[in-house]
Formats: sequence, C-alpha cells, structure tokens
Amino acid sequence: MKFIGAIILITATSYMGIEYSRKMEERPRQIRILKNALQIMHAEIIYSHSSIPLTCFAISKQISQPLSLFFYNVGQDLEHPTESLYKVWKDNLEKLWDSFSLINNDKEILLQFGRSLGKHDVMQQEKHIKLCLSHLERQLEEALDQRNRYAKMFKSLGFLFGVFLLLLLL
Amino acid sequence: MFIDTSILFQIAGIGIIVAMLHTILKQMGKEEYAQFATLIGFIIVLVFVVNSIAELFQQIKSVFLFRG
Amino acid sequence: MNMLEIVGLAIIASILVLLLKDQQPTIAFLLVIVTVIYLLSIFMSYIKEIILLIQYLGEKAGVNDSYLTVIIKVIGIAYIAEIGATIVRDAGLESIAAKVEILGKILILLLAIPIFKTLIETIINFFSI
Repeated sequence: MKFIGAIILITATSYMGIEYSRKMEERPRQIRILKNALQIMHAEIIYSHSSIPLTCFAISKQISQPLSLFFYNVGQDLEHPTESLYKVWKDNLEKLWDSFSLINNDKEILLQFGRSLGKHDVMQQEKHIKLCLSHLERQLEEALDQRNRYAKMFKSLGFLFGVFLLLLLL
Repeated sequence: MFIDTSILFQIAGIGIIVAMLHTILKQMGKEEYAQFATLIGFIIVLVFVVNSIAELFQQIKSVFLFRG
Repeated sequence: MNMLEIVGLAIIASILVLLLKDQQPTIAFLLVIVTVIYLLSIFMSYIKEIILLIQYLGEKAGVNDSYLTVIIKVIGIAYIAEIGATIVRDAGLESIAAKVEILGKILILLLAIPIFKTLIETIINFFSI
C-alpha cells in the first residue's frame, strides 16, 4: 500500500516538472510560428493588398495548431464585423490564451500589434509589422536562452522534489 | 525498545536529495534557492535528530537517575 | 539484538556518512549523531539489566540504598558527559568537548561529597573510641 502511494507521489511531481519544462520548450516554437505568421501577413498586405479577414484565413492555413485556430477565429469574426478589430483580436487572444505556452510579455506585444492593425495605410502597416517582428525576435532569443537554462532543471527538480516528499512522509 | 533503523536511511536519503537539489540549482545559477534548499533539508533532519536525542535522554533518565 | 546486527548497522551508517560528507557535511554530521544515539539506546537497554543486578547484590549484602543510588547516578553522569563530549569532538570542537568532560568530573565529585563526608566521620569515630 505504501509502495503504491510512493509511486503515485513521484509520478505526480515528475509529471508536474515535465509539464512545466514542456511549456518552456514549447514557447520558442510558438514564437517562431508567430513570426512566420507575421511574415505571411506582411506578404499578403504589402504585395497582394488583401483584406485582413482574408489575410487571417491565409495565415491560419499555413501555420500549425494552436495558433492557426486564433487566426481562423479572428478571420471568421471579422467577416461579419460587429465590433472593432482590436476588440475582436483581444477577445480571441484571451479566449485561446490558456492553450498557448506564451508569457504575458508576448501577450502585450500581440495586443499592441492588434491595436495598430488595419488603422493605417499600407506603408505604415508595414512599419508596424516590422516593429512587431523585431519585438518577437527579442522575445525568441530570451525564450531560447531560458529554455536552454531551465527546461532540464525543472524536469529533474520535479522528480527530486517527489523523492524528497516521499522520504519525509515515509 | 529500539528506535526504528529506517531513520538512518531516511536521513541519508534526505541528505542525498538535498545535495542533488543544491547541485542542480547551483548549476542553473540560482544560488539563493540552492542555499535555501540546503537550509530546509538541514532543518528537517535537525527535527528528527532532536526528537531522537530527547528520546535517548528520557531513556538515560529512567535508567540511571530518577528511577525512584 | 545480537552483535552482528550492531556491527552491520555501524558499517552501513559509516558508508552513508562517507557518501554525504563531501556535499552536505552538516547533514552527514547529523547522521553521525543519530547513529550514536541509536547505538546508545541499544546500550541503555542492556545496562538496565546490569544495574538491576547491582541493586540486587547491594540488597543481599545489606549496603545502604542511598550509596547505591549515588554510584548509579555517578555512572549515569559519566556516560552522559562521555556522549556529549564525543559528539562535540566529532564536530571538531575540541575545546568545548574538554569543558564538557571537566564539568562531568566536577558534577561527579559533587555527588560524591556526602559519601566522602560519611567516610571521614566514620574514620574520626573510629579513632575517637
């Protein structure tokens, strides 16, 4: 009986550690996808002069889950708009936020970008996309750095903490 | 009559785990958390030790001094 | 508990202490203390029998009960002082260990004062007859 409890305890804490480090490893990947999406948006807006809903659909077809869902939802909401673009952008971001592995800084950058979206002419819009891309580049570097330093640590920390608790309770 | 032997292994296990935590945290550049982990481990072990010392002294008292 | 078990326990404890000594000297030291306490508590359960034997012999020989109590107390103080001194010495604090030992000796002397007094009185009585 004790043995089963020990296994459950260690599994639980190890799982917590692995989950946390997985989130950390997922973040650079998602930021990269986001950058990709912005580059697609750049191409769509500057060269094809397509509207924002169409751009969003185009992006959602080319990138992977869960971010593609966000762009798809935004595109869908904007097809028959009842609210401002920023409101739609923000609401969708909030709704899907928990499924992303991003942190609050990334969210702030995305919100700021959403505020600028569709308010200016093509040249201005290009500048905003460039700005957001450079912000994301910085976040990506930071995320990569953090992943290299801490992802492994949280894995072993989870397991060790489980063993520690086990020894205390034994 | 005897204390349980498993306390020895328990303390050694806590010591090893705390040492590993210390090494990992230090390696990752979290010196202050490493110190903290060591301190916590030390306090927990100290509680065990103090309990067993109290038990031993009680035993000595009953054997030698206040046996009535 | 037989001797083999005690020796096995001591060897295991020393291996564990060696394992911990490099990384966590303080916890290794606490492990030493626990081992000492464990061995001593085994020892105490045996010495109980011996003290009961001494009391039995004292009763048979008709020795005054208060003298026996003092002797047993002296033995107890000697052991406690020894335990304390060795644990402190293991931590490398030689001077504190020496003070603990000296205090133990002085306390023993203090306990022996009444017996010493009666001894002197007996001798004086012996000569004054």
